[in-house]
Amino acid sequence: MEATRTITIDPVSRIEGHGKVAITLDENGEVSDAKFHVTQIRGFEKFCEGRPFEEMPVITQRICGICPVSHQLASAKACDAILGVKIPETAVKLRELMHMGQFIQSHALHFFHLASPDLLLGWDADPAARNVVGVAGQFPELAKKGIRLRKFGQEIISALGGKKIHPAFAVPGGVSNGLSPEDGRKILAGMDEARDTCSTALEIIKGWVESNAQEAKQFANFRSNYAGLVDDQGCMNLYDGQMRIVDPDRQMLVQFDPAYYLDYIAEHVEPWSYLKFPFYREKKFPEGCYRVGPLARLYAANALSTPQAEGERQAFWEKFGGPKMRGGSLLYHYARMIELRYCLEKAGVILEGDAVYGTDVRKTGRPANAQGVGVIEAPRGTLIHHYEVDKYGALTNVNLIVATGHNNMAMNRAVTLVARQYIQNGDIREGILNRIEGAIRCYDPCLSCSTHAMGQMPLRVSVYDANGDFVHELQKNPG
Amino acid sequence: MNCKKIRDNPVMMTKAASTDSRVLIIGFGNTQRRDDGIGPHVIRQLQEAIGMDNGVRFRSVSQLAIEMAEELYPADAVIFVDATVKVLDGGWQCERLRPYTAPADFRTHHLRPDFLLGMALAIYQHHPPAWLVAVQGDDFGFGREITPAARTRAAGAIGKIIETLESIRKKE
Repeated sequence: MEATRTITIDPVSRIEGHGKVAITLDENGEVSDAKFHVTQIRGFEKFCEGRPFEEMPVITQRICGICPVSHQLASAKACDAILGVKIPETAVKLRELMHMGQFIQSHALHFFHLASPDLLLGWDADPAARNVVGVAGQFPELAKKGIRLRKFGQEIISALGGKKIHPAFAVPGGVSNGLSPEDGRKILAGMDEARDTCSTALEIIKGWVESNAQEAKQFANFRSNYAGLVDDQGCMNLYDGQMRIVDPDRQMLVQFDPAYYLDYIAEHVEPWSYLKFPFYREKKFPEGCYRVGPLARLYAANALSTPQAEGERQAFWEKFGGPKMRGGSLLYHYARMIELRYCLEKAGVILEGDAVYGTDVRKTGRPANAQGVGVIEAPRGTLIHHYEVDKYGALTNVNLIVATGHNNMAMNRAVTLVARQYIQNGDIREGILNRIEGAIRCYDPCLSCSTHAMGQMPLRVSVYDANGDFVHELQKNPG
Repeated sequence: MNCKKIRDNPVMMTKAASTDSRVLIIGFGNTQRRDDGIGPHVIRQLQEAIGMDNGVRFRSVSQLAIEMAEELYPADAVIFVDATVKVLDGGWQCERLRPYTAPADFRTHHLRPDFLLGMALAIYQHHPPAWLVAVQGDDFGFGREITPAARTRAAGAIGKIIETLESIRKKE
């Protein structure tokens, strides 16, 4: 009889940050357990204590180089709540516009550069070519489109915040500057090309899901709750609104003002990961865990408020919304492109209106409340910033719950399911490992954000026997 | 030191004779992590030393981004300037870059300059000659000041880059 073995995938590639996967096989070489470990720790929540709260939009955006805007906006909203101000309408529109720029660049980056090698080249393609350069070599025009779409999103951010990464824009009470009509027209000039590229991406993902319906149905498919922000009509809202949690059949479990999130959400801790496991209190852990992000937002909301994206959502639901299909993790890629359509439409609506060009962009004041909660939908899912301050406005407590944390249980479920499906009798092949990574990649996790790390690490697959003794190792070098 | 190869490169020198010749110099690093900001520091120094309209285009960024592949393609030559934790003889070095075309470890938080060359090559079937000037840093903690030792090392690299650019101009 063979001994129990553990397989380690470290790090998981084409995600944001560093994590590893450990798979334990039983005596027969079948998967008995799989865990997605987040191996970074950064400690933003702790070292921000004592800082003036108004510094937080600048400090917390440094959590991440991909989604700094999301952290800045959630932070600014938490600071607004401490000030007790309602920010001017122009400031709301400007923040929303920057938020759309962030979604556009982030979703474009994920689809064209992180996910596309799996979708366009195939799970089992030569690992040396199954990467973004390989995609660019085979599909150069598509690669150009992807690059330009991300650039378009980055230029929206830059037009407002002065630079593409870590812009200084959202501040407590509003934003730091307005937008001129001339700059608005410059952004709009790139909209047609961006829409065309989005259409191309939607055609690719629709075609892929239809051609691979069986895999889309089976791959990391599980029942779960879903969560996202909705407006007062029940439509998806990426910047504001109430938080809604629905069950696997999209029946509403609860809808609440996110300022009171602690009444509804708790966090479970496991000793093997720095990433916590948020869950809906009433259903307890682990049954109360939920998914967030593009697919969850589509399921939590009644509809999308822009016409083309709503048309795409309805088409998606008609084809893939059946109970056997809807839990499939690969559908996240499809949902992400529907959201891209929504964000382009939304940015267009904002830029074609008058309110975004106003000059009243900030309310000032002194701290009026001892705490503030800011919640937005980041590209990867719901993002919560919660600050408590003393009478001088110095931070006494900071709590950050990011999308990757909300999806922690989902990623672990996905990894376990794929491992069980593709590893049998202890047979481990590179393509199988990529499928396990691909299951995580569906959720576009950002581990830098979620642990609030450093270093280059090779992909390592380590096998241990039942006694914990090293047996075998495979390694994917960084080059 | 191999920067002399820039002026010896026939492709670049042919283009340098044209009116739209452009050497693109990209300094990258986090200016709030002391010596990690050596790249942007070098760019500032170069801009002051040689001005803005000398056939040289400057870019100062906190990190490389994939869309920058589009900027590389039309350049006649590209020089990347970055900080390094490696201990280097003389404190800095210049190395010729080759396209990196198998980035199995691709991560958007950390892009290598040779990856951008690989992307340019894959998309446009061409990449400009490119070099990486690496300057040794000592302190990567929080702060905006470059350490004196790193400034001294950067000055050596800056001097060589200016000398190389001037020799190109004289040959035009």
